[in-house]
Amino acid sequence: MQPVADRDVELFRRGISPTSKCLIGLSVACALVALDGRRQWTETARAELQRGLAPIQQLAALPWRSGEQSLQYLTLQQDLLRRVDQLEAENDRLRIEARNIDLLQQENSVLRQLQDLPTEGLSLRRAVQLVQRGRDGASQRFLINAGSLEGLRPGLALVAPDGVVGQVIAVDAHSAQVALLSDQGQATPVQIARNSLRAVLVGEGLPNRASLRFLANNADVKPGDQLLTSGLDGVYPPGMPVATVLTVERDSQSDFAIVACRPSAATETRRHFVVVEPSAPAPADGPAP
Amino acid sequence: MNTLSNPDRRGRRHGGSSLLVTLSVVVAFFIDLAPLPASLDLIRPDLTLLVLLFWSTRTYSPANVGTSWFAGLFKDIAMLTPLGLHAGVYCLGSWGGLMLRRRLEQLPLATEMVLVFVLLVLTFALQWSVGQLIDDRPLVEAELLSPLLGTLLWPLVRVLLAPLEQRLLPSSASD
Repeated sequence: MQPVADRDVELFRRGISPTSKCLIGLSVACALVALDGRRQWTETARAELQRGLAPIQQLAALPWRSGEQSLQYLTLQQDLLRRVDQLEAENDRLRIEARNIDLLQQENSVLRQLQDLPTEGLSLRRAVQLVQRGRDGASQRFLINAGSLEGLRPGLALVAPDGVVGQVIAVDAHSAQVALLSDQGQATPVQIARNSLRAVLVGEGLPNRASLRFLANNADVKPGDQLLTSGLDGVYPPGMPVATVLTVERDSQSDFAIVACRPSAATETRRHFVVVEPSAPAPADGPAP
Repeated sequence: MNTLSNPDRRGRRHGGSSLLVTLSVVVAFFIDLAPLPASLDLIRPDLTLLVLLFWSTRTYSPANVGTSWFAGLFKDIAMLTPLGLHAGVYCLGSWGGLMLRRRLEQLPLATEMVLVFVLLVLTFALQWSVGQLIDDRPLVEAELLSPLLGTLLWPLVRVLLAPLEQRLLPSSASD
């Protein structure tokens, strides 16, 4: 309930009535609108008032702008985290690719070396790749990725840029078995590069181990001598590096010297080789053992 | 207690109430100035006008046509609208509120909202008409939602400003 005193105050309050105030206000407003339309009289006043209101406007926009900035910051954070994840994944992919490129470069280098092999006396060339190494005790053999359908047959030689590797002993349609120089019983006719002394290199059945057999106790051979293919077996072309003499033991009670050798071709680390065949018919020494 | 019999008390109450009303208008003004996307800005209800309407319709409010006129003028300056546009509109709206004073307080909320809607539509029509006369501004249909949204906000405005209104009541009325 409204107090009587307050009602009296309003009833007898002196001054302009709200309707009159409204009319005056409207009139002034209309005048201002008309003046502002011309943009001459009110321009300066508006500019001054606007300058005064500017801090208030900035203050009014501050919470909203802060909120907007916080939202942007959070969005940016999320974007950055997502970007970091993407970049890490991309980095991993690139590292794998880089590793693959390194491998390809190494492989390319090996293939280039194979390409640079001397072609004289060789009629067949086919680059092959190691598939699997044999694990059969004393046998030093491995499988390559080409077989009879690729033109391979038993008896062909396998060489690498650093020397003779071995001989194809069995073929399937798309693979072939190769006996390394170190394979037990594998015999290769060689000659010492220094004095052309002929001998036979026989595999010991151990990795990178071979020896010269039937070399007289007083034969001119010494550690460090390079052994080359003699070409007498018709398997290997003559003059290719075969092995290096490691030690020479001369026993007075034996007729033959014990000459330990190490094959020149690094079969432990290589994966690419070339299958070759001498173009000239083999001399009448018979096939390789 | 008769406030006239105690001039000090009345003066203190009136000064404090003016401050409260001004503060609420300033807050509404701040919210109106807050930047919004253009699409939302079109349908944004005029909160300052709503607050001024509220105070105009309250019996013990010191707000009057003059307060609204000046608030409108500040709005014109801040919103870069022709000077006097909001001043005139607020002035008219406030006058409408004053005409409904006491009667509005006794009506149910739904009827009150209908009356507020009529006032908002009238002020919107006036504002748009003047703007159209000055700048030949076309009417964007989405703008028509503004009075409707303003009406829907009216109960919220009432709830928010009710505690302030309680403080405006003289001690004998509030007791």
